[in-house]
Amino acid sequence: MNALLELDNITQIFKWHNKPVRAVDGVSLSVDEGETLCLVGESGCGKTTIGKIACGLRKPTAGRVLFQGKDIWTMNKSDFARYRLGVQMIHQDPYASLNPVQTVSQILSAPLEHHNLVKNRTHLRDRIYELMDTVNLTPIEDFYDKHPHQLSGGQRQRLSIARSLTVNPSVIIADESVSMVDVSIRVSLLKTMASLRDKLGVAFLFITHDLAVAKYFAWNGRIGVMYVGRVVELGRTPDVVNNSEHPYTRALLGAVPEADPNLTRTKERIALRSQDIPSLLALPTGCTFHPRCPLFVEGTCDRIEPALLATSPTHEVACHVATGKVVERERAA
Amino acid sequence: MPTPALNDPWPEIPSDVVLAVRNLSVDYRARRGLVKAVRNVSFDLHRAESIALVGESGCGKTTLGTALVRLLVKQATIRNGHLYYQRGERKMDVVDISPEELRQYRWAECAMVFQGAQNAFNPVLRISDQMYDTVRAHGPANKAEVRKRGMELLRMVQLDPGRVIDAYPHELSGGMRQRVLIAMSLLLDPQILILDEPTTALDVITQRTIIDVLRKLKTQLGFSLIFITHDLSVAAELADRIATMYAGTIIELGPADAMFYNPGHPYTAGLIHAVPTVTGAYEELTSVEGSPPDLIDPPPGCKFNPRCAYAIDACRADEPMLAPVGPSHLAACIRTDAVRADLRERGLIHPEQIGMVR
Repeated sequence: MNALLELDNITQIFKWHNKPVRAVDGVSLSVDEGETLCLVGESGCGKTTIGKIACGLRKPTAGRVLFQGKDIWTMNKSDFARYRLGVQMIHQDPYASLNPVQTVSQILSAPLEHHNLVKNRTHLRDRIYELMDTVNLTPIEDFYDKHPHQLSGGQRQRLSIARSLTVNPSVIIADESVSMVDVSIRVSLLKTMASLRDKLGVAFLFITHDLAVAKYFAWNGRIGVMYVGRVVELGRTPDVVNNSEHPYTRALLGAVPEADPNLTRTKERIALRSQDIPSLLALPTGCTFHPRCPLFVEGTCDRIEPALLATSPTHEVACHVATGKVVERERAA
Repeated sequence: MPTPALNDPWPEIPSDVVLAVRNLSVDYRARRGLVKAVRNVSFDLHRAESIALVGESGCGKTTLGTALVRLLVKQATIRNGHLYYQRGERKMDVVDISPEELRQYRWAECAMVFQGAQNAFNPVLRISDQMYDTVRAHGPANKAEVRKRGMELLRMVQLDPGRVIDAYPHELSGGMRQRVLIAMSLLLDPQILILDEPTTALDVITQRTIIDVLRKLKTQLGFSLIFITHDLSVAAELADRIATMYAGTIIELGPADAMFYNPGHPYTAGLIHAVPTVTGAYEELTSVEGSPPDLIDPPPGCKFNPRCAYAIDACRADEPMLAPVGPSHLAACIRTDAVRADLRERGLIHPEQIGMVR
């Protein structure tokens, strides 16, 4: 195991009207070379904050971010520059994340020239052609001199992917990168990203609220399920979607409508005791899920916060009942 | 405004049809020309049924929805067509009624919940006052009675009426506001409820609550539902019938089961095979390649032919009409047999699953 990017016990506290808000609380995750790790969860669970912390856009309140084993906030300048190139991000909104006055070729050449990644004009042009070909922005001549507004949402997102590839990253952080494109072309974008992983060995930290997309994209990887700032279940994708152990994951899976009438009518539903996601300003004691949890055990779940425990070598769950062991989580400082 | 012939006879419409849409076309004026956003749409909405309108963005589903309540923006015109509405002895062609009749039709006969409207409440009015304003705009209203009816409806959408009725919108979460809106839309007891993307931008568990609430309300109150969605799984869950829209027109319409397990149009099949399910084994998926056509200058023949793997010369000549491809199932495709044979060979359709559950 050689973790390429590692988050070690990350905590992020925001201030809201001078009150602390624990958006992320003691999260540890790692992404290996060429691996896909998917983070799923409802809005406000901290998944986007994790993405920002992982690509160095935000320094966490506590915890370390390690790139190739080195802490990015203490590493020297040249290592940090290497980290910045090695970890790239694809944003959610392809309408907002591209410069509207630049053409496709300008958008792609800027990072190549800035980082001295090309020798001369011919090399630059070749590299742009290669990138556009990689992301299927073809026929290349048709797109080369176009502006973003002349492209469809899917084509823009392809351009965003190509731009992230200019600097040969080893990890791409994709935050809801396909949620704004039509279902009809979503799959082909996911396939393009999967081919980067399979052919170029790029690792992905893929953040989504859509469990079906997570399953499709990360089938050979892992899924981490987040709930109000914590990881509650982490395991290989087939295990998480088909044999989930945490009651929250099971409730999520049971709640998702399926694009298959018979399946959606017969699937198991988990009734929650409450519909409300707790406020980050007033989190419940013990397990933060206990006011909604169908497995709630009084005296345990409302007092002791469960640690993320391994139930198999590849599966971790933070639930006293599901793991059958009551182990309290060590609190970060 | 179109000028329907004064003596248009009331057509033959079965009594369980609440709204019969006939040859409805809507244009938008744009600088480049007329955008034919809705073209020749006809369908019947039966009492207490739910129809899902599905399709890519820009296919005309929202325009069609807003046309049904005649709330189109001023650049849009209903070029032709009829909207025959009937409730008992009350019959009207919504395309051809006076402004006052139209005001009474909206909300009291046919209510619409717009996309993202949960963020469009008046922020300085309590929910009870917003409800009262609605009722008052449609006739005499008694504050206490409106409040009572409002609380009853809030209970039906699984909200705590005591807590919600006097709340300000900002005190409620997005999912709660969406449920308040559904409750408000039913205040005047409409026969038809139109919902535009009712679950988009809501979290999974909230989405589930909305779906369950809608299904229960529909059984309790017996209204008919048209919901617009890009999410096929919501359609699978909530629709009795599904209508696929492409380039402004309905290209396939049928029972939800039949649409999923034995689609007759390659575009519907393409959409279904582009959406992963959450539980179960991994399945290979394929996109519908290409982009939707320009609605100002659409291609000749079937509008889907440039993206269709099954297109032949005849597809580029004439636009196909909706024709039966199964029980209560229509598709506008001359290649249905070839499409189904191919999909069956590749194990992509499962007609045997129709009607297996419920």
